Amino acid sequence: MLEYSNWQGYMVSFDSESFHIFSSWQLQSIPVFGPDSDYTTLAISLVNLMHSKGVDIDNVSYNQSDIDLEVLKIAAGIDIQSDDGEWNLICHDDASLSITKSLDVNVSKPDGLSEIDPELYHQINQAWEKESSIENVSQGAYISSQQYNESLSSRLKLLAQFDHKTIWPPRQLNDDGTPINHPEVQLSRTCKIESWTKLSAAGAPSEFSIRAPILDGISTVYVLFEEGNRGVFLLTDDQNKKPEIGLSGEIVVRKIYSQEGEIRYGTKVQLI
Amino acid sequence: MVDVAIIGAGQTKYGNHASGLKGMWAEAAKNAFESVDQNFHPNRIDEAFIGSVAFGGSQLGNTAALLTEHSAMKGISVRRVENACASSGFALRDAWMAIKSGQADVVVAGGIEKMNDLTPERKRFWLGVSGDTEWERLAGLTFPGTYALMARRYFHEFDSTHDDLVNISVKNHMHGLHNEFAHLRKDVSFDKAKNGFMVADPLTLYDCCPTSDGASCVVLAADHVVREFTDDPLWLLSSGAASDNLALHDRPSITQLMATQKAAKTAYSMAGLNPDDIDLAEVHDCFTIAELLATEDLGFAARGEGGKFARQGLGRRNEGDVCINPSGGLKSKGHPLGATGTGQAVEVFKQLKGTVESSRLVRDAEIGMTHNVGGSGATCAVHIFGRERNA
Repeated sequence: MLEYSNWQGYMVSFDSESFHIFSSWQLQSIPVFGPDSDYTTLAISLVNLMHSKGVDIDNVSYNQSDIDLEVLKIAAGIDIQSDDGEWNLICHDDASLSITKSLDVNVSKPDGLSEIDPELYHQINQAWEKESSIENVSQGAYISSQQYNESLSSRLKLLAQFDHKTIWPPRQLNDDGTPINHPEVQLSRTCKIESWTKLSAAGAPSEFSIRAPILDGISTVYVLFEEGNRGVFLLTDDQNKKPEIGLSGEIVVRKIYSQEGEIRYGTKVQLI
Repeated sequence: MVDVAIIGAGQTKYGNHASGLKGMWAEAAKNAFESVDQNFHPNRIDEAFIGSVAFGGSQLGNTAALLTEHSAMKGISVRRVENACASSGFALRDAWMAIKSGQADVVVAGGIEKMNDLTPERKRFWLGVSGDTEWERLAGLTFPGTYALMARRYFHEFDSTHDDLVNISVKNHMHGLHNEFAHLRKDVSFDKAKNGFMVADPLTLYDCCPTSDGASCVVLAADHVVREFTDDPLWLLSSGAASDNLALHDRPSITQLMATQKAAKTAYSMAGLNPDDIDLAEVHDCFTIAELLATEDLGFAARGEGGKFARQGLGRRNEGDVCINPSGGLKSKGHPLGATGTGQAVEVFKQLKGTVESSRLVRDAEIGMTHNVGGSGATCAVHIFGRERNA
């Protein structure tokens, strides 16, 4: 019987040969994704777990099509191959996936999944569909694919520059007018809340205008990293705990918004 | 070195304007021209600086050329100035610099914004474009959220609560009640302001300025031509300006605006004045917390004492040493983004010349200040005006 524990807002279980991750939500006993999760976010989170347990994984075999491989590569720092390797990444039908040394795995859902409100679930899914439609012309600010990809490693992996101090998000020239090195330093994934706000749906940016009313507003936190850097992040959409100054949070990868038919991933805070 | 005077100032009413861009600008310019005491003709204008974020995107390119050709200024050197909500504050500074440099004798500085003909979605876009789009907006922040973060942090660091912000809202609504140009002319009770709809926790509707259409215009002149137009000029004694990191998270503190402090220091030093000398100040209260921080950053209250300043009503008209936002501020008068800076100058001009409604005149005022901020503090322009040429 597998034992599950919480990890980055998901349920995980593992042994030396297999790692499994489940969404924390179910709808009438059937596991489903939360409001800002999908196979890509699960995969990134599971690889992060493996790294945290000292597993030396730098590539996986994967033959399905449910994951944004570019995002996975950058966020998790692994390569994807189609033929057999040591580790196989398998997406299951029940909002879960496994990274395992075996080619065949059968995992039953954990106890303790939370029942998601059916109306919320359906509305959010419809909202993502609408937002992701190529016909959806957002009234939001336009971040081009080039601009988005340029800072992807800083955005997803919290990679910082170093120039006498850690610098995040990345900058161009230092105070002497010299170009600063490429981001290579990993910021800690935990942070402290220094301030927070919850925006009403009417006050949220246009990029979130379809989903914010369904979520009853969106919450943003202003945080301090161990290295002294600060950032602002959305809370994960299914964060139940209310933010407070002084609380700790963990930086996790989630869906942020969609533009021109493409899901844009980024980092959010999961309160600890 | 040339001294610079304001010889005329005018604006439209702020609010939901029936006119389009050209009509609003022409009205503000006409009002400014007509306010000059004597002998003024637009053909005397050498340069024009017009501030605007871009009024909903309908005329991003060659804005100034379009507007000046409709207001008797065709053919002169013109340009749009953009620094978010500080656009016309910087237009004013640029106009001042043009005269100080000796390259121009008579210059127009103004601003314009039209937002209320947009759909709510488009309006929200334009209202949120002046933060760091990549790292703040995509973390859910528009400016209510940004200033809400600042407010909550301020309450945590100092002896202050939301009630202090409520006091600011009530004061500014009281100040704007008799301002014929104000967008929102109504008294607001403490309880109503305290319990308003939550926009971005802890900021309620009454902590946030409205979205306003409007235009404003001032006419500046060099000292050697001033007497052609008036025997009673208002002198622009000094200008200070600065910038800071655009994103909150790149600043060492989110409970003070370094750009304001730097700009104010320059302005005070240039004028040979200090905060105690200021009789009235139009400060940038896009949100009530912004006014609280401004009272500290401009030196009217010590660091951490802005809450107490508001609580004690020290900025109320004819009650304290300095009247903060006699016009009603952005909170009551309104905030047509690009027009706000020179709109503040219009108020100071009228207050110091004694031409505002008698019910809201700041008595015995000799020195006035304007404080105009772009976004959450990435840019700031501070100007000091005086009845006497050398304060």
